[in-house]
Amino acid sequence: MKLALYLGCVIPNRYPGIEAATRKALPKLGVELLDMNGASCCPAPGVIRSFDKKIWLLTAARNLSIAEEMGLDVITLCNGCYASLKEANHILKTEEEKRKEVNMSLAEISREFKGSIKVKHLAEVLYFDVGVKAIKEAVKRKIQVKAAVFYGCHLLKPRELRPWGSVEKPTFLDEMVKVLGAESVPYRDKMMCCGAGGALRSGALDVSLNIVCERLEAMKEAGAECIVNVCPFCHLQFDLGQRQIAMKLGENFNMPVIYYTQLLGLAMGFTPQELGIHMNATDCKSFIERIGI
Amino acid sequence: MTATDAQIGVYICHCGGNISDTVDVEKVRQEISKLQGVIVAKTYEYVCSDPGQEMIVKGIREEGLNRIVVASCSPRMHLDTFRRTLQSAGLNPYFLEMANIREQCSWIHNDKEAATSKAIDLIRGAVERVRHHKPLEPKRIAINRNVLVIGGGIAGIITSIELADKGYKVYLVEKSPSIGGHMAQLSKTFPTLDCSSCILTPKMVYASQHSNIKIFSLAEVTAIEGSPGNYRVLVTKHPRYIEDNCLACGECTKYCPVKVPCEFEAGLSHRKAIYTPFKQAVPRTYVIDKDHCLHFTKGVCRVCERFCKAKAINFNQKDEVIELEVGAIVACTGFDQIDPHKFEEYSYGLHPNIITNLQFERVMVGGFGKPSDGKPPKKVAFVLCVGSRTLDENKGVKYCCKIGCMAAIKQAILLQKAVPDVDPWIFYTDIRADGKGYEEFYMTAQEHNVHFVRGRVAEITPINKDEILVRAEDTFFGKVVEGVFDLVILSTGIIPSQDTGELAKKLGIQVGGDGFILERHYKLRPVDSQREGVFAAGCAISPKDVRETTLEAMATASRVATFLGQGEISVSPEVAYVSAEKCDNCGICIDICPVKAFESSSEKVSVNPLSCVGCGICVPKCPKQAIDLNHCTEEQLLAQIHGVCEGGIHPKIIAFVEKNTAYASADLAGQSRASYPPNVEMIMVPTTGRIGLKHVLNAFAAGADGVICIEGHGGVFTEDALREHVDEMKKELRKYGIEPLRLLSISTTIPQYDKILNVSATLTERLRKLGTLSEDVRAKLKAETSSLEVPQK
Amino acid sequence: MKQEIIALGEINEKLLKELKKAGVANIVFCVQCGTCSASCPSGRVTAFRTRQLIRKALMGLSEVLKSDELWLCTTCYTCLERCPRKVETVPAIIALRNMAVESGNINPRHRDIAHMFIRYGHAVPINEENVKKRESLGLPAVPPTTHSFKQALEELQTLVKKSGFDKKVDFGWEGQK
Repeated sequence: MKLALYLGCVIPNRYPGIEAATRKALPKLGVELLDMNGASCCPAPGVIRSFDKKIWLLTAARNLSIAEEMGLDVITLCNGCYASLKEANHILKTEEEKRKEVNMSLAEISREFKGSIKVKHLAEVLYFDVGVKAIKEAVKRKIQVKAAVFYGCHLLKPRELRPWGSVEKPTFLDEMVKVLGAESVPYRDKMMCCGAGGALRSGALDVSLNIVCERLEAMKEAGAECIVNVCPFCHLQFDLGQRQIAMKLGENFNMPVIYYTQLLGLAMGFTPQELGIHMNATDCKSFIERIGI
Repeated sequence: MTATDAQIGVYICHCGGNISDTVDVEKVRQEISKLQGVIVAKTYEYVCSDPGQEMIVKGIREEGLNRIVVASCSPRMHLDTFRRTLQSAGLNPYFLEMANIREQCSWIHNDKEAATSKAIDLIRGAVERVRHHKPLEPKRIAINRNVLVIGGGIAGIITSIELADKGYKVYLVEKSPSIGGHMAQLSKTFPTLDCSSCILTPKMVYASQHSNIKIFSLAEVTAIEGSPGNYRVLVTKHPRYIEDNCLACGECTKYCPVKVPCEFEAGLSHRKAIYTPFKQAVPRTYVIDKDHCLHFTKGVCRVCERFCKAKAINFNQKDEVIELEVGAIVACTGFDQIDPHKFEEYSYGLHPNIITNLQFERVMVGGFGKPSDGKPPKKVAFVLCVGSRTLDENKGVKYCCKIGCMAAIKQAILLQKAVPDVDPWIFYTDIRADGKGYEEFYMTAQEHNVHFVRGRVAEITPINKDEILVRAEDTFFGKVVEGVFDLVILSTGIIPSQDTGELAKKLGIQVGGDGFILERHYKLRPVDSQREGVFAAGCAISPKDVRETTLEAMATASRVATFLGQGEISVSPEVAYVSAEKCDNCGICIDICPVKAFESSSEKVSVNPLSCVGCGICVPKCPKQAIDLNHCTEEQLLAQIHGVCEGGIHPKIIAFVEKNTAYASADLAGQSRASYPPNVEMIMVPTTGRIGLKHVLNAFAAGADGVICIEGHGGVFTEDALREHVDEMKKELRKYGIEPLRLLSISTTIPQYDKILNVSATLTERLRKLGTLSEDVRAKLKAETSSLEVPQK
Repeated sequence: MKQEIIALGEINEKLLKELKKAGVANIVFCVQCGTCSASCPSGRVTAFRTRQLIRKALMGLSEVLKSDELWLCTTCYTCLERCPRKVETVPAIIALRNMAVESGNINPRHRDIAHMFIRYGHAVPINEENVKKRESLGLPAVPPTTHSFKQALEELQTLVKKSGFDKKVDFGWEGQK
C-alpha cells in the first residue's frame, strides 16, 4: 500500500533516527511511503491550537490538501500530529460552514480542501493494515528485552475519532511489541500522560519534568529495561527529559528510549547505527549489549 | 334526529385567560354563531366549572339544543366531564364534540390573529361534525374479578396480599424458580436495620398459603388478549423437572457434578445444576437448570435421580400453557443493575475484591469475608454513583438510583459493627438522604467513624492480590487523595429489569425514554399505566427502596380494587360495524384487523364489538365501503375535514392525529409551550389507519395544501403499516395532479413531541417552496370528490 | 488589595457566552464531582485542579484568562473521557487559552514558538546538529517540508497574515531570513 508520509517537526528536526528507521522498516512490510512536499508543522496542537484555533485549522487544512493532491491517505508517526490532522480532517469533512470558510482562505494560495483522504497513525497502519501476523513474519532477530510500552495520550483519545475501542486498557501496542520478542512489563499508571503536550513542556518545564519523572519511577520499579513509544514528543520527553532530570533533580534513570520502528528495525536485522539509536540523549549502549547485538 | 334537525350550542372557554389571552374568543363566538344550525354561541371563563356546566344543561333543557360543542382544553382533560353534563341534562353524551383550542392552539401560538383564525377553523370543523353525531350507548359487561400480578418480588408480593385480603383472586406469575426478588438477597434494610429475610419471608409464606393467591413460579406471560376488565392471558410454566412431592432434602445437590455461577449469590459462588435458589425459597421444591444439566446438554449423568428418596425427579416434564381470565393486570417486574464492566477505569472483573453493592449484601450475609480469601477486610472503599447521574449513554443512565447513598451508609455501618477495627471510606458526589429517618442514619454513620470523601472516584487499579488503589479528589480540600483498600464496593446504577420492554409491548402499555413503565399521569395517577386495567408497582416504575415499594404496592392494590370494584365495565360503543347489504364477503377485513375482531359466518362478515378496539383500519380498506366506525363515521369525518379546511391561513396543513399516544404528544407540546406554525390544524382520529385516499383528497379539495398523518408508536397501526399505507396513497395523489411531497407521515411516542414540531416545520417550509395547491387541481378535485359522498348539511 | 469575597454582580457574563459560542455548552452540566482533578497528570505534581478551572469558567471569573494554571493542562483528555456529565474540558481550556492570547496574555516562551512557526513553518525547526545527524543517516540534509520548499513557506505565511495570527503574537515581518 502507498501512503503519504507526514513527518511533522520533532522527527525530522530532532530525532531523524526515527525517520530513518521508519523509511527502512515499513517498505519491508509492503508499505510504500511518499513524501508530502512542502508540508509544515501540523500545527502542534498543544501550542498553536491553544493560541488560535483559526490558524490551527487553516494550517492543518493546507497540509491535508497536499495529501489530497497526491491522492493518498496520510500516515503520521506522532501522536500530536495525529490529533491535529485527524481532528481537523473530521471538522472540515463534517462542518460545512467551517469548510467553506477555510476554503475561501485556501483559495488565496490556490489550494482546496476536498475531504478525500483519511489520516492514520503508524500504529493504526501496522495493526489494522499490515497486521501483527505479517510483522511477526518479518522478524529475523528476536529482541528479548523487558519493555515499558508507552501509548501516549493522543493516539487513543478522544475515543470517538479513534478506532481502538478501549482507552483505559488497550493491548494493541503491547501485542505489536511482544511479537518482536520483547516482554511488555506492567507498570503503575501506564496510561498516564508523559507531561510534554498541551504547551506544558515549553511553558513550565519543571512541572513537565516532574510528571515524566513519575512515569520513569514507575517503569524503573517494574523492572523495565527500555521504553518503547510511538510518539516523538513522548520520545523526546523521556529521552532529553532524562538528561534534564539528571541535571536539575540529580536523578539518573538510565532508561533507554526506543521508538517502535527502531525496535522493529532491530528485529528486522538493521543495525542500531542505521536506525539512529545511538543518537539519543540517553545512553543506549547498555541496551544494545543487553539485546546481544 | 337527523343532521338537518341539529340544534347546536357552542360554548367557548376562556380558561381563565389561558385561551382568551391569545384567542379573541368574542370574535370566534361571532363567527361561529353565523354557522347553520348554531342556535347558541357563548363564551365563559371556565366552562368546566359548575356554573359553566349549568349553562350547557340549561341550553339543552330550555333552549332546545340537541348538539353541543365545547371549545376548550384538550378532550383528554374533560371529555368525560362534559359527556356527564350532557347526560345529566337528559341528552345522549355522544352528541358532544370538543375542539382543542388550548393545548393545540392558544398554548402553541403567540400570533393572536393566527390563533384566533385557527380556533375558528377547529370549532367550525367540530360544528360540522357534530351535526352528524348519532346517539350511542356503551355496552356494560361484567368485569372479571381476578387479578394477574407479574413479578414476585416485594412489590408483587405486597400487591397480591393486599388484593387477596380484600377478597380478590390473584395469580402471581414469577419467572425465576422462587418468589422474593432482590429483597431476599439483602442482609438488612435501611435505616431500621431490620433483617431483610425476617420481614420478607413471612410475607412470602403468607402469599403462598393464602387461599386467594395462586403462585406460578418458573413461569412467564406469553400472550395477552382481550380488553380492560376482561383480559385473557396465556402463561407458560416451564418445567422444574421435579415433581411436587419433592422433600427439599437437598441430597440431589450433593451429587450433581455441574457448577454454575449462583444467581442468588450474585455470582460470588456456585450452585449445582439441580438446586434450590435459596434456603427460604417459595415454593421450596428444587429445580433442574436445563441449560447446564448434563442430561439435557450431553445426554449423560442423571446421578440425582439415583439419590432422590422421594423419586421426585422427572426429566420428561414439558412446558405447560395455562390460560387465565383476569380483569386487571399489575406489572411488578423490578430492577437490574448496570454492568460495571463498562467502567474500564474501575477494573471490575480484574480483581475478586472489586464487587457491586448487591454482591456485598451476600458477603455480609456470609460473614463479611472477602471474596479472595474469606478473611474480614481491613480497609473498605464504597464508590457511589457508578453508572448513575451520567450523560454518557455508553456507560450508564441519567437518573439517580435513589438508594445508592443509603445502601452504602447502611453497609458501612453494618461493616463497622461486624468488624470493629475496619476502616470504611465512602466516596460520593452527593449524599442523598431525603427519606424518613435517612438524615439521622447518615449522622449515625458519621458517629461510627465512617469516613466520607466528597469526590467521585476517578480510577480503581488493582495493585496485587490484597491491595487495590482508589483515586479521587477530595473536593472540599481541593487535593487529590489516594487510598489502598482490600475491598472496593461499587454502588451501581439501577435500570428496569431486562424484560420490562417486551412485557410492556405484550400488555399494550408504554415505557418512557428511560425504559421504566410510563404512568398515566406523573402526579395524579402514578401507578396506573397508559392502558385501562393495567397497573404497575415498585421499581418497574422507577428506582425506590423497600418502604416506598410497599407504599406503592398498597396504592396499586387500592387502584385495582377501585377498578374491579365497580363490578361492571362499560365497553365503548365506538366500534366498527358492517353494512350487510354492501358486504360481499371478500374477507379482506378479517386479514387486516390487528385484533382479529372480524368474524365470518356463512354469507357475511360481522364485527365482534367486545374485541374491536375502534382503530378504524378496516374502514378505508373495504373495497365495497361496507364498513363504518361508530362515532367516527364517514359522514362525521368528512364533514369535519371540510369544516376545518374551509377558511383560515394558507398554506394550510391538516394533521390527522391518532387519538391516544400521538394526541397526548401534541398536548404535551402545548403543555410545554413549544411552538409550531399556526397553519397546522389537527383532527383527532382513532388511528391514522382510519384515513384513506378519499379523506386526503377531500382535505385537498376543501382547502388543504398539505396533509400529515401522525401516528402513535406502539399501537395497533404499526410504523411499517403506516409507511406502506402512506406510500400507496402518495402514488395515487399524482393521478390527481397533487405532488406526493404534500403528504407526510410520522410515528411518535408521548415524550417525542419534537417530532411533531419538526414535521410541521418541514412541511411548512416545503409548502413555501411548492406553493399552495393549484386552483385548477383543487377545482377538479372538488368536482370529483363530490361523487365520493361528501355529506349534505 | 486581594478580595476574599466574590461579588456575584461583578461576574463576567460574557465569558460563559463566549465558551458556549466556542461549542462547549456542556460545561453547564458540571457538578464538580472532581473526577477530572483526580485523573489529571499535572494535578499530581502541582496545585492545579481541573475541576476548579472549570468552576472558574462557569462562574465567569475572568482572572482565569490571566492565570498560569490555565497553561498547566497537557490536553491528555483523560478527564474528558471519564467525566460523567460529558463536560468538554479540553475544548473549554483551549477556548479559554485562545481568549487569553487574544487579550495579550501569552508566555514569552510560547510567543517564541509562535514566531518560529511563522518564520520557518515549524514549531521546532532544524538546526546544525540535526543537519549533520540527518546526513550521517543517509537522509537529505533538510527534510522535504517548508524547510526545503520556499513557496510552501510563503503559502503558510499568507495564511498567517490573512488570519491575523501574526498580529496576535506580535510577529515582526522585518528582518525575516
